[in-house]
Amino acid sequence: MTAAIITQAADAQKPKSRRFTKLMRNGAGAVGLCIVLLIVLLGVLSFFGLMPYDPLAQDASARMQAPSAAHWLGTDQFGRDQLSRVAAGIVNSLMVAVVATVISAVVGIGLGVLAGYLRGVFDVIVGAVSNVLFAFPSLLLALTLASVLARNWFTVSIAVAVVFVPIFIRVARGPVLALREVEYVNAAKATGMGPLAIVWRHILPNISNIVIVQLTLSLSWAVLTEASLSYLGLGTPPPAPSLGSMVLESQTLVTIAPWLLVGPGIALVLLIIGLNLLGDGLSDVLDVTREDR
Amino acid sequence: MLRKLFESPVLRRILAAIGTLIGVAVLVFIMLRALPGDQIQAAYGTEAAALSPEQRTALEAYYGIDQPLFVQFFSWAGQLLTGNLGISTRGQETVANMTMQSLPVTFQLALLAIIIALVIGVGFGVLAAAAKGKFRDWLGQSISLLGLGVPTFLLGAAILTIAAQLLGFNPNGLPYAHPWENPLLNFNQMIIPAAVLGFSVAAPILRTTRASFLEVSELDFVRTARAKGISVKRVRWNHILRNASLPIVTMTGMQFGFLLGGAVVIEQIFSLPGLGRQVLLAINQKDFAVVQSTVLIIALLFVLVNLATDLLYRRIDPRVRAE
Repeated sequence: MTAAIITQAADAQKPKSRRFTKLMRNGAGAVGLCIVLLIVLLGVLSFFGLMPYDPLAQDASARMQAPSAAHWLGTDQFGRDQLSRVAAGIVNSLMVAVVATVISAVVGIGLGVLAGYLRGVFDVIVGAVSNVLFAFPSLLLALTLASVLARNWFTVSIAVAVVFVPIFIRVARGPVLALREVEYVNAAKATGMGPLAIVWRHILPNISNIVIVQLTLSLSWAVLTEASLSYLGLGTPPPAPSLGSMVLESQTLVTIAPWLLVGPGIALVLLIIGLNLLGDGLSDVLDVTREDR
Repeated sequence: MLRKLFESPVLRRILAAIGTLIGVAVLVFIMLRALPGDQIQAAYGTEAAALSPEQRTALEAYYGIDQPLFVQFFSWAGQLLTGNLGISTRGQETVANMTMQSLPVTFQLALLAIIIALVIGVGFGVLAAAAKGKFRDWLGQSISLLGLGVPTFLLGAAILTIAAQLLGFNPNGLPYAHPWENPLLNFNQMIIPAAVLGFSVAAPILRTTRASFLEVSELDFVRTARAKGISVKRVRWNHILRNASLPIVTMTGMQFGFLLGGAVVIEQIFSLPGLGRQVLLAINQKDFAVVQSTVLIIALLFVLVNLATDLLYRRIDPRVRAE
């Protein structure tokens, strides 16, 4: 029995490097990963203050300049460098998206796994809660929550996270229902392992593939939701640059300064498409059917 | 007899939907009442600070917020059941009246959008699946990727500014026109927002169509149909698509429900006075009665559309009906 668990564990360890090779051979996955890495790199540079300009520094002598060698994406009406602002906006988008996804994944997977494993009353309650959360169109729920919470980047993350909790519940609960009947789980039960230990050692490793795919897709939806909230004026408050509010601000100036819309727009589209492609690639490589919303 | 009725899956689904709606009402209430945020502060703004303690107590009694939350919830729920959705503290209009005005706008927009989405999604989905791995497949997949990746607010804002500022076409700059008063202007105001929404919603429909079509086309009856001499086109659109339609129906229903409440951004950009804009305006004006009831109505519509989709699914799939 112990031998069986050890083989199981060894199986889970082995193909990791091969998986990466497979992902790089998968067209969508490789392109997606490259795009995401490129954008993350821009974000990291901005985070450590390595961009050529301060995203908030105004320069009256360089207002509304078209893209040039000095300002690759041009400048806005306050003379702020658009590329530095886009990079700072990426940091903000990613920060909200990552925190929101992590919170919703931890809560959602926790609830989903326990509901699927324990069944009974707990399962019914978790099912009811996720049905209620699913009954709201996602942006509307995030919008309402964001409107009542004090506004800062963390509360925006919470508002976005709540929307994705039921998705993780559903993704985790399904496979657990099948897994709890599997022989090695029964064997572990027979040896007197507690439910939490069984979930940790035997159930979670087996749903890791589906979770990895779901994490990638949720990141892309979280970026989209955060941007939509910012566009509606309910995201991270100014002056912190956010891709969504930059699109909103650019609208009135777009005929004289189209680069103001193009920069944040392209960054946003690339980030979402990159994450989607990566999700597609991962679901091919890890052999998981992706769940659309 | 009664017991048999309770075993009916249709009734069970309806009961579950009612249960969900009760949960929705509780959640909406908790979000807007129990979380910090003061109705008096919202209604009187900075003047709230000048209120004497007696005035404040009187106002709290007037709004009913001196009662325990439990009592507040049931009095709100009781009002809802009698059709009283509350009154806008700003507009001095009943939420029921406001909704009668805004719901048809959102409904028309969602309907137009879903038609556009079905044409794009099913059309390109079938073409992509029928030519798996070829150029048309690549084209279909690219369309769905763009639909997923380009946020509606970005596409909407870009098209609106290009049309308005470069081409001088801006019907949405005019006040909203009712379809029965000025159908042409109404169509002009609706078509771009509907197309933007339709394009983004087409992506999941396209993906579902492609996957379902590929699955069905592997089945034996398809080969038999071809062997009988039925043309490729006919097999594709009549035989395979019909059998692949179930997941497409479900996905379309889900997306339609989503559009009824998810059109906030597009309604805002194109100044369409729909449900989404009603919520957003109320949020910005801190008109909580309106936010609370409108969000509830949207969730109700969403649940009803999903229930209808589910029941429709049972009607058209003999396998589910037999269970």
